[in-house]
This record gives sequence, C-alpha cells and structure tokens, in this order.
Amino acid sequence: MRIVLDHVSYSSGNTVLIDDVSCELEEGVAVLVMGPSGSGKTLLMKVMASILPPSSGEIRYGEKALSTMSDRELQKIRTGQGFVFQDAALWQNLTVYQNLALPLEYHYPRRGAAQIRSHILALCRKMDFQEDLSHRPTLLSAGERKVASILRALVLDPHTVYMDEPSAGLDSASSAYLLDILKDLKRKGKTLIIGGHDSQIASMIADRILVMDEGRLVAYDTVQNLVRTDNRRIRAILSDVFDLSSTYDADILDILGSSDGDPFA
Amino acid sequence: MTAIVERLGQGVFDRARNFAYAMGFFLLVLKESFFYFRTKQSRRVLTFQILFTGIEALPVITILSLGLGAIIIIQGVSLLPQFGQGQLVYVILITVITRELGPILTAFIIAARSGTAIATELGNMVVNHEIEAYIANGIDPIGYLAAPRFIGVTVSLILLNVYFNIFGLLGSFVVTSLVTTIDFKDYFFNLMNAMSVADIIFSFLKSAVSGMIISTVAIYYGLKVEQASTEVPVMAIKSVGQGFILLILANAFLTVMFYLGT
Repeated sequence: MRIVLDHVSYSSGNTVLIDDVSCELEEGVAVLVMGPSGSGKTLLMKVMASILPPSSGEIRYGEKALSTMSDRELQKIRTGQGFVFQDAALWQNLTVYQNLALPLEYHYPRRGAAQIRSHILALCRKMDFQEDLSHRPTLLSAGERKVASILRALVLDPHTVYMDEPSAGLDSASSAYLLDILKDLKRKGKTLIIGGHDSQIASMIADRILVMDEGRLVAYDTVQNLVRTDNRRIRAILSDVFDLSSTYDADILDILGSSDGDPFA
Repeated sequence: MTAIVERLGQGVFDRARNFAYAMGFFLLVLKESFFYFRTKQSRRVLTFQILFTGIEALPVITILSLGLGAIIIIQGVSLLPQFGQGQLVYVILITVITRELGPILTAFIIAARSGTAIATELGNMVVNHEIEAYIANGIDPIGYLAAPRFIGVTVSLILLNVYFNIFGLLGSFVVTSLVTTIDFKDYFFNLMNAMSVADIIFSFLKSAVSGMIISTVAIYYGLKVEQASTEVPVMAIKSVGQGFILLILANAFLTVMFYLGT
C-alpha cells in the first residue's frame, strides 16, 4: 500500500519534533530511515504507522486520508502492518506465546487454538526462535526480546513492516536470520520501513534512504544518488553506514591549498 | 492585578477543559464497556480484574464489616435504651451498614487497592510503550484494557457491598448474642422489618456509581503518564486522592437524593 505524507508535523506541547515532512513511499519499497539520535526517526515511523496522530498535515494510505477514516478502516490499516519497537515493547504480563497469539485471537476470534498454535510455531521455526514460549519477556535476553518482537510484528502477515533498529542487540547469527527474513519479505513485495544505521540493510535491502535531521526530512532518494550528494550534512549522516572518505580528503586539500603559512589567514 | 485575574481565569479555564476531557473519556470507556460483551474476545483481563478486586479483597472486607457491625451494635445497645429508643438499633444498623458506611467504606478500600494497582499497571505500560504496541497491532486499548477493568471493578464493588452487608449484620448479631439471649430468627426478622427495598436498591446504586468512579479515575490517571517511570507513583497517588474526593461527593449527592425522594 502506498503511503503519502503531506506536510506532516508532530509537536509535543510547544516543541515541534517533526517539521513539515512530505514524501511518498511506493508499495513494495524498502526504505531505510536514517538520522542522528534525536532527529525524529522513531517519531516519524510511529506517525507513519498511525500509532501517533500528526499535529498537522495529512497522511494517506492508498487513496484514503487518515483524517477521513472510520475506526474500522483505521483498525484495518493497523492490522495490515507490523511494528517492531526499538525496545521490543512486549506485553510484560503475558508470556511470549500470548504476546504472539493475542493479535491473532483478537482479529481472528473464530480460529481455533490449535490453528493459532500451529501458525505461531511455524513462524518461530522460520526465525529459529528456540526459547520457551511459556516464559515471560523479563526472562529473555535483550536480543531474544527483539526477535520475539519481530515475530509479533509478522504474525498477522502484514503488507507493511516497520522496524525501529531491528538489528540492535542481535548476535551475528540472529542478524543473519533477520537479513534473510527481510530479503524474504522484500521478495514477497512487502513495504519495509526500517530505522537505523545497519550497513548490511542499507546495501542489501534498502531501495531508498530517508534522512532526518532535527525533525526535518533532508533527503529521500535512492542509495546511489545519495552517496554522490555534495551536501556535507547528509554525507556526515550517511558516513555512519557508507564509506564516504572522499569528503574528508577534499576538506584537507581545501585547508592546505588556502594556507600561505599564516594559520589565521 | 490584571496578571492575577488572568492567572485565575486561566486556572478556571484549564480546570474546565480538563473536566470536559475527563467526562469525554468517561463516556468513551462507558461506550466500550457497553459493547464489550458483543465482541468475541478473550475475557482474560475481566476475569483477572474480578479475581484481584473482588476475591482478593474478601479478607479485609470481612474483618472491616464484622468489626463495624460489632461496634455499631455495642454503641447502639448501650446508648439508645437510655433514651427509650432501644428498638431503633435495627434501623440504625440498616441505615449505617446497608445504606451509608457499607458502600463508602468498601469503595475506599477498593480505591486504595485496585485504584492504585490499575493506575500503576497502565502507567508502566505507557512508559514501556506497551500501549503503543496494542495500537500498532490494531487492538484498541480502551476496549481491551479499560473496559474490562471498568466492568470488573464495578461488578466486584457491588458484590463486595453485598458481602459487607452480610458480614456487617452478622458481626452485630455475634456481639448481640454475647450480651443477650436473642434468637437468630428474631434478630433476622427485626432486621428485615427495618430494611426496605429502597435501602437495597440505594445500596446497589451507590456501589455501582462508586465502582465506575474508582475505575475511570484510575484508568484516566494511568494513561495520563507520559514518559518517565517517576510519573507512575505520582499518578497513582493522584488517582486515589481524586477518587476519594469524587466518591465522597457522589455518595453525599446520592444520600441527599434519597432523603429528598422518601
């Protein structure tokens, strides 16, 4: 489903946290949302996913605007998407199994317990999640909680998947499985919106990169176009992920070339 | 002077706006509770709420009601005969236990127990982004979290009030039988004579209103937590304080209505 942001802003009190963002995400695209800490990446993803309402502007899912949707239509939008939170955000008073089962039980109440169980176990096998599903989230490691959160986001087979720093806290084996999952989701035509600075995701998965800085969208383009940009700020942000040493060399030449022995000249 | 008036006006305006918001929130919770049993969803949250609020409060309610019943009968039996009004002891028992103190004392206990628990639990869920996770998964937090708590606390309070009445009146009988030789049947007959249908209905009404107040205030303050875990105990305390004030006001209003109506 195409997602369009039209002059979207988000404020908390008098503080503008997302400022006039406009962009269009085509169906099936994989977008890496990048930016320094506090740039508004997570907030932007939550606003896009309709978890938080925008303070101004409009969001359109397909042809339908968020502000004109009924509760039922909005629920349908949310059911068609999965969201992996940065801190997993598993429901602490439920076991891992119940965390995965609740969305299924809520949206498909007529499905039997056996069918739901079978679906969950198949998903766990695919992600090689071998932890005891009867455990509460507090008994899991940070990496295991992240994997459980990814499983929960995928349990309803969404068409759009949001992942906020999905590889943070994962070991190399789990990261490899995550990449396989993302490749598989992309192959199936899912829209992927991934926040973070993972170089493997940037190089193997992302079609486009969306760069945020101080709440503003400063760039939204293909990877190939962005690595050739002259904008120093964008290059500095991208340098976390890509090797952009040419900017540094040019700066050195500039400094050396302008000097006539007087450092203050 | 202008600044003072301005600040006062702003304060009144803020309070009015907060009150309007709270009333809107109450109506939303009421609406979701009304439709709760029409959805085919798990009743897990409702079951646990009734278990925690109702069943687990029985020991403290038992002790309180037995003690209150005993105290009232001791005071009544020792004071009233001095004025030749010994027969009024049953009326006083019904008025105090069934109509007045029973509902409000039960409500105070539940506000302190369940009110703080609900506000704390929901507040922690906000801080841990669990509420956002419900929204992200298309699960309405008001329908899934608030409605069963609203229903559970209200139902539990009505049932606990009945329990309080039974044990309060039983406690008074136990004390009475220690000082006089009274048959239980006679005691029960005198009590039933002093009790009217209006007393019972009024007692249920007070319990139901109290349950709605306690649950709504606790849910409201729990979900009002914004970012830090340090806000959670602050909101829990506010929910109890605000709950107590509203309970007293509501019970006083209903008592006045009762006396105006009879």
